[in-house]
Amino acid sequence: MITLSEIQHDALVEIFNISIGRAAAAMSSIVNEEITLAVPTFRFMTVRAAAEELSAEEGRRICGVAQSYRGTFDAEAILMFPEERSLEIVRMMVGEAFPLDALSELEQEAMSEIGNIILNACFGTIANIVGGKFTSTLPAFRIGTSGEILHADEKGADDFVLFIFIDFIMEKREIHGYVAFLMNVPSIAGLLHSIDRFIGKIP
Amino acid sequence: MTETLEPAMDFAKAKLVESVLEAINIGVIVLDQDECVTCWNLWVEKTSGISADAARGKRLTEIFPELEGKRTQSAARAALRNGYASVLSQSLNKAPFPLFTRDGDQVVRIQQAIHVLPMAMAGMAAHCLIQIFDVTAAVNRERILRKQALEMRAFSHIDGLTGIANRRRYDECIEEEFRRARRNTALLSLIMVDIDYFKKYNDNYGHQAGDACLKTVAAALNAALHRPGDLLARYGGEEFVVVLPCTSREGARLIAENMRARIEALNISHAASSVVDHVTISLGVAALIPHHSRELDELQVAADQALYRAKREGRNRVAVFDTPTE
Repeated sequence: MITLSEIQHDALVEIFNISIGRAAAAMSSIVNEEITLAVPTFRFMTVRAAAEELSAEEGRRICGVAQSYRGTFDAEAILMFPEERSLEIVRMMVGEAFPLDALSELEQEAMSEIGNIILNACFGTIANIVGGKFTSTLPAFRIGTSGEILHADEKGADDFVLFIFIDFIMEKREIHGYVAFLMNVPSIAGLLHSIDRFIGKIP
Repeated sequence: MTETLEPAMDFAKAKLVESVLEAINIGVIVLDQDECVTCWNLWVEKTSGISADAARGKRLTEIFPELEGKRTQSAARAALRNGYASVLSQSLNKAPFPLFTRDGDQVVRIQQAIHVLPMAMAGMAAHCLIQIFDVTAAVNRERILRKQALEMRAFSHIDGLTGIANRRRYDECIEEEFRRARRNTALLSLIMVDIDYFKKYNDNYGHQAGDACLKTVAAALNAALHRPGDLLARYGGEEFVVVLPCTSREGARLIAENMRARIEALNISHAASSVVDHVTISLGVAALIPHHSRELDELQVAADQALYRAKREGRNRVAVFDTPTE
């Protein structure tokens, strides 16, 4: 199990909140309404534990937006919300209620954009810490169980995810979501090393 | 031999790529490190009215000043500087590029979905590929779908007998209005209405007459409401409920009194009534400025209690719940 000291954890939370704050500002200017994004905490856990955490907490279908990053190390980033929460987010942002229980084609695309903004901001934080060059793919929209979204069956139990908790606040409504970064063990080790180096630089 | 062949092959390949770019039915713009146009395909030429020759070498924001400081520009920068890909959905961005098409004899702005991709090519500076998709047809399709779904929903929100809103519509409406009032620290009033001795009316005149009475009463109550935000709903049986946003207790009492008078004026015979010989109603009024979500229940309970007091005090009257919150 990967554990971080309190100082490491708090420093990272702070950095995540700065970049996610920029994502919130970008989203606010799109919809002309105040949107707040906050990262209260994050954890390293196994893919399986992450899938269980998601289904234990929500027990329902999950809406995911996934993007792959290649470069100094490879990672897949997935933003996840319970499906009905994703409906709420999109409809609040688009400002029009679509009277259906599922996201329409255009709404799925809007959700992909929201995910895209949040994921690039989160990954930007990591890229900053690790340094080096990355390229990303376009976001892909997925609906399914937490296991399906995270590919929990294909991955070994030893594979780790960086599991970031995200609070999305708009019109006084607060919606809880998650960003998972799937990385292999050497990448995680590299990231941890970089975190230490990075924190060492913080006065 | 190969020395002479390779440039020829490169040339053929370049020609092929060029004709593909001209033929495809999406907009393709490529920007260099300085956000200047290096590729501008036929689709973009046609829809923007700007030729590739005129666009090439110019900064994108010089060609389209309205993109300055907007999402498209920051997405292009994220691709060029950080290697990140971005999606700009139609739902959130509508039509960022001033691109137009003909629809009959009208010129309409194309609804767009935009993909911005980093292009990393060995030995070359970073470029960025902007793809523009025309999603006008999908937007129109979803507009029709939304309209139909809303119509269907409106249907499921109407009480079959009286034609006014049903209980389900009321439940949704009161939650929405409660939230709105809470957000705006505005007043919200509620009136509960009950037809006096309606069971006796049914027993005396039969259920068909009872249904007709409900319809007439519902129509008369509805006629007392004039603002678009007000809602009259059938709460159940012979009970009705009125939601009055931005209305004080006194305002609601006046509307309730007006409703009472209207029903009395209908002069529908009700021989079995213990009040008078025609149909009358009792009404309970409550109002508040909501601060906590639990107050929604409190408001409904208060209106209910006021209604019981109106009945206790002899029916055919309005009772107002006195709350210290107003």
